[in-house]
Amino acid sequence: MSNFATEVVNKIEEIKKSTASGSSLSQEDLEVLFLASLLEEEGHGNS
Amino acid sequence: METAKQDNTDIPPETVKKTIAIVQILRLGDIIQTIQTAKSLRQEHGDKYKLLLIARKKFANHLLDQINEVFDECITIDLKDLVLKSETVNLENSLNNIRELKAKISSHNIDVCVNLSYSKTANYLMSLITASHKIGPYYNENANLNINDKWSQYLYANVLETSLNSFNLVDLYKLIIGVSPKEDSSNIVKTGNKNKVFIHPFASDKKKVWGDSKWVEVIFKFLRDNESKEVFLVGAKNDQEACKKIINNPLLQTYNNRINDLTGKHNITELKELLDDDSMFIGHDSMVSHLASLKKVPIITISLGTVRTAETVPYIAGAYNLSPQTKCFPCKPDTACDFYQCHADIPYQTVNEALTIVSNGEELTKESLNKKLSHFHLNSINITKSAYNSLGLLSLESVLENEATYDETIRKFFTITWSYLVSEIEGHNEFPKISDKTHQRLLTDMKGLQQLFELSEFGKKYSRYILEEISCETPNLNKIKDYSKKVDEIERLSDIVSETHPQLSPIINYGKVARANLHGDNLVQLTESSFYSFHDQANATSIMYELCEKTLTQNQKNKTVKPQTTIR
Repeated sequence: MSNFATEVVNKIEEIKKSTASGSSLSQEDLEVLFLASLLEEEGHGNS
Repeated sequence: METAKQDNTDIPPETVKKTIAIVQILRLGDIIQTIQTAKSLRQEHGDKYKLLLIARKKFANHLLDQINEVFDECITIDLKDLVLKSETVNLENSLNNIRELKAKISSHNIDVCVNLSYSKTANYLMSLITASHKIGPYYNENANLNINDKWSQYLYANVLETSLNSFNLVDLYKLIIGVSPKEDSSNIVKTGNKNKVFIHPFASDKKKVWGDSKWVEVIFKFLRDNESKEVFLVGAKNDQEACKKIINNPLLQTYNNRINDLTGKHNITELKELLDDDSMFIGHDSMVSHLASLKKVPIITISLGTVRTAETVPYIAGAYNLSPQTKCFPCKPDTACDFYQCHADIPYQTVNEALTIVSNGEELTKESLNKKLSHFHLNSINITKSAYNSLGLLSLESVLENEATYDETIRKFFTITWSYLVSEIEGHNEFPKISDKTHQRLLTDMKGLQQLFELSEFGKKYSRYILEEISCETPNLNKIKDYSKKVDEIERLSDIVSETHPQLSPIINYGKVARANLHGDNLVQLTESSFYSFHDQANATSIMYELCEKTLTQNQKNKTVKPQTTIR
């Protein structure tokens, strides 16, 4: 996995942990989730 | 003072235009359907609103001329721009690029942002956009999907989940945005003898497209029987190989001078221009069929696999559609399939005959088809023609049958029910002529509707009990919890009704989505919203029940008037 992909995956793990402990999503979290979703769509050819 | 007064009278205050942003980040066909929706908004409100389209760069760039005809501006999104624009590819730089995009969108001071994409990415994008009002799904800070308006709730509950939606997507988009559906007499196919047949025998999904041998048969027979006509194969660059397979088939060698390969040779604007008054279109569910509807040329679409015909047929009156009667049609994208029975259920002879009739400028009817086709060519297929119904919605009318099938009947009932329930739209609707089999099935549905109505009434009752308990001087928390458990139980029982009567799932799904998106900030408001949601569900079942009952009565009356021919 590239550094960029690792960064995204790690950040998502962080978001998962913080939401599991009851924290709400910040704007940055939503930005990361948007980016991850876009990457996932393009990766699956669903775009 | 004098001058100031003069100025005040001479220059009236300018009204600032409200901005409506539409998020459509799906494919080319979806963008064309969004353009058609925006055109209707312009027809109803003129230039009252500033219209902004947010779309995927790689799709929007092909349709810029069409987009600019109706939208004031188009903001495009591209993964490459967001990730690779900076010198170093890392998360921080990508997030900075996303913030730049957000700032660009927010600079338009959006009053209403509408999500017509229904994809996870679009839902996250919606959560990043600042707007006074949001329509359609978006994620909130608790990572829950919010859908506040009823038509978007309907779309989310039915279009993606059931095959019983009878609204064309353009009509649904219009209803979501708030454009009243009405017949557009100019939005009709221009019929007549056509010598150029544009064929798009490709689609994004294998399930949706015939194998090349079937298209070869259609082209061969059509060119053999119609000496003055030519065919033009159109598609993208990645369709060129598939196109060669068709063209190089030995069967077509004699007719090569009348077969034109245009795949990958023209952009969308050029293709639109090529579709002139001497042209017609035939192909699968794809962007080209929607493009053909913009040029009002005669259209025949063939729906296969996952295609929900009523939702995606080109938005124009007078277009024909051929779909199989296969039981599993339409399937879901993740349904595994090895032998594509739905592909086999549409005989190429029928497609060829339909193509010949339409290209000669004649009406496709049961009689015209029966002249050259046998019963075996027509008994596994549905042929429909699009037309505006009395509600002003585009609907599909059967070409072959006098009697409506069960699915057509139930879809018609749902259209009437949802149009009235959500938007109070009423029209004059004839009772469908139904078969004995449909009669029996509707009788069974009525039992399910009765059960669902009772459950909805229970839902109202327990929601009311909660409200009454809250309004007591000393509310009993245990009682409130018990009533809430009852409401949960009603949801579970509704699921059982849905399993026994899957044709009622649109109502049950809609109720569920509505209750997952209750309005309010406190228990009272949320419970009131729950009450109204059960109230809507009860009304939907009640309308459906009445439609079934009246249709059955009418059917019974018709039988007594016309004595049945019996076989002894």
